[in-house]
Amino acid sequence: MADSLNIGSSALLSLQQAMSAASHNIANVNTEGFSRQKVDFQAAPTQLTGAGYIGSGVTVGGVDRVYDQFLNNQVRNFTSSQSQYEAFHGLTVQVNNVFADSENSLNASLQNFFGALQDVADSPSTLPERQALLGEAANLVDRQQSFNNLLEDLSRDVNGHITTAVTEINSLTASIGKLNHEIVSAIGSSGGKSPNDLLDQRDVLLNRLAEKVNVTVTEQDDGAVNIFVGKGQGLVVGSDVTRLTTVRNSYDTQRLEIGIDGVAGNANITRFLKGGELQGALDFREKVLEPAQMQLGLLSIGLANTLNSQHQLGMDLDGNLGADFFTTVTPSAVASVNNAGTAAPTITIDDVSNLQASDYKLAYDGAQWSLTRGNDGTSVSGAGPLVLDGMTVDVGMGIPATGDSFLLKPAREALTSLSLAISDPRKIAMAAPVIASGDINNLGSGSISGLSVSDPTGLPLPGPISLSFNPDALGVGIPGFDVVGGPGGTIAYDPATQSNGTTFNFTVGGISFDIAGVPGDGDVFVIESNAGGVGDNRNGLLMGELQLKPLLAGNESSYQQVYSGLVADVGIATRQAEANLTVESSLLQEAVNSRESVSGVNLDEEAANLLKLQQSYQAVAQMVSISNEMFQTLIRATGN
Amino acid sequence: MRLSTTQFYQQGLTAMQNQQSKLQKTEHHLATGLRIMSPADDPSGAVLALNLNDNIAAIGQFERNASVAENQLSLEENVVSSVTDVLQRVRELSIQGNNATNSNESRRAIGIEINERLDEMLALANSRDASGEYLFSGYRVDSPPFTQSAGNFSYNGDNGQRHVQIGEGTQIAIRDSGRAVFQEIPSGNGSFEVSAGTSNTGSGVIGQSGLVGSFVPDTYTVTFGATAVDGSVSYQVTDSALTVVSSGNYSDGESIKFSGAQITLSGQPANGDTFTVQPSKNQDIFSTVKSIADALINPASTQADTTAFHNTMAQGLSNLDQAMTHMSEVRSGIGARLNNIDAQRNINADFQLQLEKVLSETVDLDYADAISEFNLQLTSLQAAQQVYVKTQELSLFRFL
Repeated sequence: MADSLNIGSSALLSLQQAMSAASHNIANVNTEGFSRQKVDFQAAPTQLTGAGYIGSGVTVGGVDRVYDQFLNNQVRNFTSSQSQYEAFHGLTVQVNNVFADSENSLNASLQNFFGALQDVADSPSTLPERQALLGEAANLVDRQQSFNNLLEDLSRDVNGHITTAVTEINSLTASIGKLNHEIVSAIGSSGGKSPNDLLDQRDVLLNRLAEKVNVTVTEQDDGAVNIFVGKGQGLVVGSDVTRLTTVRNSYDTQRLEIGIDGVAGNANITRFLKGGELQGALDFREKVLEPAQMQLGLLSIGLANTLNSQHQLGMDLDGNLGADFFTTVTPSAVASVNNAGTAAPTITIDDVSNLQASDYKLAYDGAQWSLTRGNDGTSVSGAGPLVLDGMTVDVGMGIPATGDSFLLKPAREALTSLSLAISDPRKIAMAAPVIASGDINNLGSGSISGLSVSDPTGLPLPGPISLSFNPDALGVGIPGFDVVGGPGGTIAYDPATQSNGTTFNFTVGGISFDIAGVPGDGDVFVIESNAGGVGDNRNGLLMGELQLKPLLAGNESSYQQVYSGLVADVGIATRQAEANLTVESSLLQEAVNSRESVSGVNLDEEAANLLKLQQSYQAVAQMVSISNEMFQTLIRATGN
Repeated sequence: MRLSTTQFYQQGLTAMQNQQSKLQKTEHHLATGLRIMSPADDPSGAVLALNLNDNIAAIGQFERNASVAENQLSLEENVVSSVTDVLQRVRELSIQGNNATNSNESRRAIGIEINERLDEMLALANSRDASGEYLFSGYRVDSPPFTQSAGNFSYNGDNGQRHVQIGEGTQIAIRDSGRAVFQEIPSGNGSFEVSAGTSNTGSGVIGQSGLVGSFVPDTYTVTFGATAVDGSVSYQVTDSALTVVSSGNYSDGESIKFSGAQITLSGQPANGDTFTVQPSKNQDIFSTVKSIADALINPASTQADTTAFHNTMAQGLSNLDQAMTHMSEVRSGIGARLNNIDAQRNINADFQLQLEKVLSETVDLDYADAISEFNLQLTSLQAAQQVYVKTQELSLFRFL
């Protein structure tokens, strides 16, 4: 009889514990990361009697959390990639929005600028049109600068993301270190029982950590977890925590990167990191933001250089040659902070049309220099000067040390420095600096046309260059022109064979012209300075023609095509980011679902469990009551 | 499959949120009427739209340039047409003045009127456009092209010609230099000019001249000899090297032919009278008119004076005819350019229409599509909401 009562009481106790577990589950139905707990009923040890082994009731072997390590790891990994794409997408969308408004596009500003240029060409001597052109040029620069500012803001956003992520990572790893310590001691003091809720809490923190950066988690026998990032850099080992820090790029102090505390100072581990918000922000900077800045910069430097070159071949209202229209900045080579030598390379842009939308890295390996294009790794090397993409890098200044390196950002530098160089509308050089004419008294059918200049050196012409036709200019019977002024001498021209037109070139000013027809003896053609030709718009038309010419990116893109290309790149990147985010989100959702379907609390299930436990409890209570009655029966029988 | 309660809620919620976000996007498209709101909506479409907008704006600029060109050319046409009218009047006056019946006084009066017409013509040649630029100065638009000093006319411009862009790769000249309009006019009959020797004593007056074959350019002198009994006059023609190229006898009204030229004279040249034939050179319109006026104003007292007067008038009239021919050439040149502009404007307008159509197809929303999608999404959202409410009612605890 006593056995039955003992069995009954053990059952009642066990069931109460099971009820507690069910209640705990119900209570935590909304707790993040909670794994439902299950009481492990075990039959109490049997007793050997003469009749054999008889059971002695039930005990609770332990409270287990229903948990699948594999599913948990999966959630953590997918969390990392989902967070990465979410951060990437969030930032990329902002660039996308910057370029969304087609009416405020840079192309519209370019169009307005070139339109104003044509208005001036329609009426080159009038000042209001010239003033309007300067206004449109200023607008163009402003628009360029506002794009630049928006992109700079995003660049600071990326730094903000990195700083915040690093701070959060440090706080999370500190908490995980503490939890590790608590878990190890909880397991030790309970003789190996698992501290379920602490473990759940640690899993939650690990997930939050995975949102920031992808980590490798290895579980130790004592219950602690070790956490590694990148290539095995330990963040948490037992209860020891190593902090991440932000470090500055060795070329660009505005560009934050990620380092880890180490014995020898902070090691830069940026390139080893994978996944999470950090990777999203870093990827965005490298694959969307900086290329956008480079493209815009290429447009800036290209526009400034090509327009300036043509402007310098023109003549302004006061008869002076055109100066710079936009300011250009000579690109610089930024030395790495780690450089030990004194080398100070200088850069010259020889042909802006070959420049690429990229940064370049210049390095010295102890024997020779190498110049590498950032976007595809194309490189040249040698003792210098190095020539790549229309750029000459002179490395003659100073003495380099082995391993010294420099960053060249010709395009991005131009983006930040583009400005208008002229403010006086009279200084817009719409006219060509030279004019050619045949003398009014010429008798022959000879004509001069196709006059152009290609070199501001020697211009404006100090005096007229006159060409007089002489049938014996180069000896008896060899016709040509006697040239007076300019290069002087004679040039051969035989009307019998060349009357369809022949092109001649003078070194001075790079003057080129065509002569056709049959000039009469002594007919004179004059090429002279166009000073006073305020109604001339020839150079203006040439500047206007630049708008549609493929002048940039290896003579493949016009100004507007560079911008369109940028918009396309940003649009495609955003679309891909959207698609990736959708995929990663649904993968994460599936993983969470799988984990939840194992570990999550289902209230109906708990209700059913409660019913079952209640019924069991009633049955046990009945059993105790029956035992009691049997005991009473026995006592009554013996008592009489 | 086992489901957790949180997951159950979450799934319903996510479904609703997804539907809402789709609905919001469609709503935004409908509100703006745009299919592409940012480059990500359709990267290639967005770039196409940018390029189309650029092209449309460029055509707009070409249109503005074309209207500037039209204005300028119309202005020039007006001036040239006025100049032609003046020339016509000068020609009438000259013919009237050349009539042998006129007295010195009436010739002088006609000469003075021609001088007034000359001033009018000079003013026309110095016309300015609305922005104050001289039309005929070439590139030197801020200085008056023609000035007169001591009876000489000088051109202060250059031979520059302004062009504007009226289509992609199409430029059109919107001005002509004063030199081209008023100065580059060949004298005489366009190939050569005939002038009488200043010391002629006979009554030989220059008549019509023309070409027989091709004129060999050189300066020729026709020298007349003694008069024969039949009234004919012997002559010989020498070139600049004094080689005789032709000789014969001349009678009143007959023509003389040599080296591709044919000249006609009237009257009776005296022994030793000469006429010079030389290749045409450029003669400006003002000098031509001025020489006529001068000839009319100068009184003629002797027979030789009268003959010289008639010769100068004959030369002047032939120069005047050249000038009028030249003016009509200039006008037809302007007309051709105006036609060109018109044609280019039509091309531009067609092109613009086409581009705008493509642009609209690229960026504008198909409302029918969008609205049916909107309705579908609305229904889906409602369904998701109803499902959510229904399923959340289910709980075993309600039955305990």
